[in-house]
Amino acid sequence: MEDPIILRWVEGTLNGNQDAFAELVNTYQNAVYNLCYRMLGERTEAEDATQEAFLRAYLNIDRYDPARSFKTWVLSIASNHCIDRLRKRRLTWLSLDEPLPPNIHLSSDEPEPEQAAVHNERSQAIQTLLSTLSSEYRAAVVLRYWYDYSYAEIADILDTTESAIKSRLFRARQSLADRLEAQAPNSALIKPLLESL
Amino acid sequence: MANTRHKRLMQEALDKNLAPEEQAELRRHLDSSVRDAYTYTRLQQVDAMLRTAPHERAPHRLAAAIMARLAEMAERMDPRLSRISGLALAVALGLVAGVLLPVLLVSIWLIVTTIGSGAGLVAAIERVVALLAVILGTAESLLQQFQTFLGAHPELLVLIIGLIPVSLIRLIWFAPRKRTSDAAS
Repeated sequence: MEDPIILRWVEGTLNGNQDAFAELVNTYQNAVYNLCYRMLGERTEAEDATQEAFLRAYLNIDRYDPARSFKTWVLSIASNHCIDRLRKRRLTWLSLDEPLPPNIHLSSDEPEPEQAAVHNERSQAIQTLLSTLSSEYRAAVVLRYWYDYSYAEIADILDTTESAIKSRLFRARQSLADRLEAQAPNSALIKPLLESL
Repeated sequence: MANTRHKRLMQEALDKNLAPEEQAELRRHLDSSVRDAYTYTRLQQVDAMLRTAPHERAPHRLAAAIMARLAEMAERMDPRLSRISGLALAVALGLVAGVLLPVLLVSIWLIVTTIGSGAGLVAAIERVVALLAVILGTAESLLQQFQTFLGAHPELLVLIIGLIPVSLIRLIWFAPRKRTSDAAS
């Protein structure tokens, strides 16, 4: 059962109160944005996808089941939207095999520039690796590792079976391990990752 | 080379889904296979890397941008109105289906009967006309009763007529005003 405060905000949104929906946006914007960024690998596109996901949530809020977690519901909308975007991107011949160019962005709320630079370097390195996975594999990995969802929950979010999710996760990890091994140990990609372990 | 079972055990171990006896089996296998032990170490590296991956924070302006787009959208569409119009559409479709279904059934019956004989066609048309006469008669009777009722209570007629402009004002004037005030807030 969802938190009563969240349910009150959902109820408020259903009654046309946009302040209530603003509370939901403030509560879940980081989770949705992180998912979109990890899926799409580009900050501007992730912002746009986050906006789109929340607008879809607003328009379909009457379909939200209060027995389910609101976060899971909104992440489900976001992940399916990102998968659609990646499919369209593939159709426009932008190869998923080639990582997107790094887009270093220092968020103004990060206190130490040096710390932020390390964070960005590591985040980019992981992103480059993630971008080698197909959209379905990437979604499973992101939901598993960034949100700690179980196989069953991921299957529910991505509307597939638990065994399919297991298979995607297993193959994704194997693919990432192979990719890491293929890199030279001192390469720009692998160094920040290994240093952090 | 790891067989399918050992590959599965390695992956399940990363997700901490192994039973104690399976864990022991995997440990024994990794002790006996240097190659698979190496593969497992690489998988553990990937797992550790992903587990400690940083979370990206949304930019400050994002929530404001979402609410601005929402306000813009609310100018064009109110979700409550969209729910009402969805319901109205469902009711309308139900009514159309309710009317069309008997017509369809009668048509099918008519065609089947006609195939049988010419006399059957005449009889069918007579029955359809008789059925329509009954429906029209019932409708006329209902209308007469309604007229009699309104004759006895003329204030109801005024009320019904009065509701038409009120409903129009509610739809045309009040709803857009409410959406604008929502958007502004």
